[in-house]
Amino acid sequence: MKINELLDSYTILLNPKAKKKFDLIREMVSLLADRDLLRSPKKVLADVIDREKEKGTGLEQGVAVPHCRSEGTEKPAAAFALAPEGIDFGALDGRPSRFVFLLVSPKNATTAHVQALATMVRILKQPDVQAALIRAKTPEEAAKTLAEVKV
Amino acid sequence: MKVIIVGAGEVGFHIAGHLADQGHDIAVVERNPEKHRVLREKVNALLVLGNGSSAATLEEAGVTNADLFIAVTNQDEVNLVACLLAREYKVPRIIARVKTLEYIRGDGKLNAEKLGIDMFINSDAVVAEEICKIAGHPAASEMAEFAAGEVLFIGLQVSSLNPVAGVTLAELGEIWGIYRLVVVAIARGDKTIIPRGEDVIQAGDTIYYVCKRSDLSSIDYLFGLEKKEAKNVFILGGGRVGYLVARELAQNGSHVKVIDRNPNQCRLIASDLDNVLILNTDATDVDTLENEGIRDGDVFIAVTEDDQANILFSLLAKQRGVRRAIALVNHPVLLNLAPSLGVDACISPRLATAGEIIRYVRKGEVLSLAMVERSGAEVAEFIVPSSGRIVRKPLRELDFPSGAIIGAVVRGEEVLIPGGGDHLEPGDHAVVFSLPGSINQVEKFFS
Repeated sequence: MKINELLDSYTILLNPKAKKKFDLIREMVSLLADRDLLRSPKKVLADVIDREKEKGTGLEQGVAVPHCRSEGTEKPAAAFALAPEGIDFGALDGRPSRFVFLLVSPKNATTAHVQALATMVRILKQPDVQAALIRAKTPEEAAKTLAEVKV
Repeated sequence: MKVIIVGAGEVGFHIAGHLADQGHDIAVVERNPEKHRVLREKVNALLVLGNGSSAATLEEAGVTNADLFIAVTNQDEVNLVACLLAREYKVPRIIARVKTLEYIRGDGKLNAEKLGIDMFINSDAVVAEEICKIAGHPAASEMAEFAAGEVLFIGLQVSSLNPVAGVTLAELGEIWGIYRLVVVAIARGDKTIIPRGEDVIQAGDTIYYVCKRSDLSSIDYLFGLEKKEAKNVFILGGGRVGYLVARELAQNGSHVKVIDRNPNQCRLIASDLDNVLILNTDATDVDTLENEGIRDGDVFIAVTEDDQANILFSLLAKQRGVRRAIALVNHPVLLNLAPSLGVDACISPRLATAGEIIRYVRKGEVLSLAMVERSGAEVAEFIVPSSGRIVRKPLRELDFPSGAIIGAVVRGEEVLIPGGGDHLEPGDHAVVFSLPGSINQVEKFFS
């Protein structure tokens, strides 16, 4: 699974309205729903939130990767949000997350699901990628940045 | 330490090998010359031909200056008499294996205390406890607890549907902040390795990992394991193990059905356990099993005295829809075969008993201990000494024995699942996995 096959400018949010974790997840899921990528956005939202309640998906260096395997989608779908002020995703270092990647995979997803999460974390925690994303003026620029990162 | 072991069956053989490898001075008393031949090839021990209930034989084995006496023949009477003799010789620590459940019940007429024996060990009770532990998890094939139950060590067979099949350890490391586990070993075929970042978890592997109990359900999610309790349980075989498992699981709220074709056995259980349903039938009686809801069964536990029946009927039950099957298997060859056939977990009474005895023997050296049956590896909880050599240095810079890895660190009330940047402090408890060749080095490391 290549990141640029999952993410395009239409599923990137540079200035989300949400200030709280679950609001942001809702906003990102509806972005996927608007693109008609999900069979049941409602089910996907419930599954991401359930998973998030199990344990927060915040990681160090301001990255968070909310995710789930869900019957609400037939294909993997992903969104990215840059939250300039950061949102608490329960990271181990206690810092808020600014770079949020959402991945939803079908219920029976296997290797590729975990690999896509790992790859995205590896990309997003790089300081120069973070700087470039913050500089990006448009979703297109952010998408380009992410597509060009060497992993 | 000078150790005398009476009885060189599977249990005695296993204990002798393990303790000899750790440098203890072992004498084995066995009356069957055939068993001496095998022992001589495989274990570095003094072999004494004779009966353990004879004082002369025990003297020949060196009972007068023994530190530990372990009687593990197949016969309670021999074990008890041998231990009574050892008591007369003032051996400081004495362990007897007993088969009769009466002896280990608190209200029994004779018990270990009255006989001056330090520990009675009953294989059936040990096995039943082990089965109940793993029956509670959706997929574990092995499970042990550390740090008063806050830290878990789990063995899990990776199916092709497991999302981590095909993933490298380095990839898992990226999402470690969410799924905090340390994969301490991977068993593939008959090899067990301590994995590095570039190693890939493959379908068919058994992975061994350490995690906090409180993180268990999030880690189960990572592995694609459904949240399911052992609600509907079928037990094949109403013998002693079956009885103990049925009693424990029924007490914990499971619906337990015991299958046994022997009407007397059924009556015995029925008279003692009123919250358990007894099916007096044969395990081949598929119609009855279907009517009793085998299709919705969560766990099928096969604990007859026949290894082959246990394996076969486990497979039959799985074919009929049971989610998970656990089988009691004695024979070492079948023990290695069964997991590859699709039995989810196998318990060996002999290895479990030997493990329990070794755990007891090593109390004092380590806080708690689990043995991995397949590889002879150990997981042990050590106290970190106050010397400066190993403390306050990042783990990745420690000169740690290569066949071992730290899975968890307990600091006061807090449990850490460590990454390479974490360090040890004096007084910490470290939960350490060691391959057989590194156990001694790890002990030195913490001494």
